[in-house]
Amino acid sequence: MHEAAIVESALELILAKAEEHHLTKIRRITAKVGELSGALPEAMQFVFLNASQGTIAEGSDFIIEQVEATASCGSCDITFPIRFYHPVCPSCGGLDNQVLTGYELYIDTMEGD
Amino acid sequence: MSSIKVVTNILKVNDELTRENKKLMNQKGLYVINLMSSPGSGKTSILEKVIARLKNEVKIAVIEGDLYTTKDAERIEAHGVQVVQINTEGGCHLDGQMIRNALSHLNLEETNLLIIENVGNLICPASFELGEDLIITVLSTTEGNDKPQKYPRMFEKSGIVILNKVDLVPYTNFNKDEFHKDIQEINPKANIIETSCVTGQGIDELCSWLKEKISISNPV
Ligand SMILES: [Zn+2]
Repeated sequence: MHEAAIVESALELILAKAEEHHLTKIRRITAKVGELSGALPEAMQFVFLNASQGTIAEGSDFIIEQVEATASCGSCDITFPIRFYHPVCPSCGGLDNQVLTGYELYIDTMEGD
Repeated sequence: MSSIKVVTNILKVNDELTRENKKLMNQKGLYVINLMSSPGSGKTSILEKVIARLKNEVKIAVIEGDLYTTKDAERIEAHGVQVVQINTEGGCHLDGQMIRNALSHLNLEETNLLIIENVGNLICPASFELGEDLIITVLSTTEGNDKPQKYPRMFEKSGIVILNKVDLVPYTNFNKDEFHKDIQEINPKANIIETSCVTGQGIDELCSWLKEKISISNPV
């Protein structure tokens, strides 16, 4: 389960940021996780619950916003959602399209005192 | 209460370590392969064939990632090339820190080609870049041709997709046409090589491909 490694990495980052901003309690964290990132939000929540225990992030709301996967076709000049990981252009059927979103895996914001 | 805009990549720590590792690999003129597959696909067998074929022409070193055992590393070591074993102790992938430790145990002056055999797993290793020049993913015919659709990330990032155990196709329900079509859709740039470690099919093709790549990255 690589969500464990991802969440531990995220927590390290959050705690460092909190220290930088002199927070003593973290209340809320939002993360953006793309559909194509390979990380499952439920698993991330589960790991966070355990990994944050005993830290200033314990008990905080860990909110995961999923980002839809989209791509754009250079020939048709359109943006479309990717279905089942296949960036097939719905207009021309072309395959060589640029993936725009879906690989996000980052901490967006945090709130605390 | 204060609100802080963070916007930092979660894999930042790994990315930074990987960037440093990559710098070292470049300085030493290494061509680096990240070899991935699910368990039992035969990637160690393929690696053995490739090493036997190339070791007199190319100086090869191997980093062996394994959950607990040293079996694969022992098989590779028997071919007389440098091997470092990383036991992840349950971890499902290799990361930048592990590679950094492994690099410090290798004589990089005596290496042109570094092959990292990742932990057998089609999901997690695809999320952690290791500074590789090429990702090779091995799928075996006994696993079924639905795997690329189920775990596309790894196939999407691969320069070469190896279909191993093609000698067993008649005994499985593996659909080669669907497999080729799926790879074409997920990653039109991937080179597909069909191999069999029993008949030796595809090993020459794979070795020529690698030799060409290594000579491009290390001009004499
Ligand atoms: Zn189009």
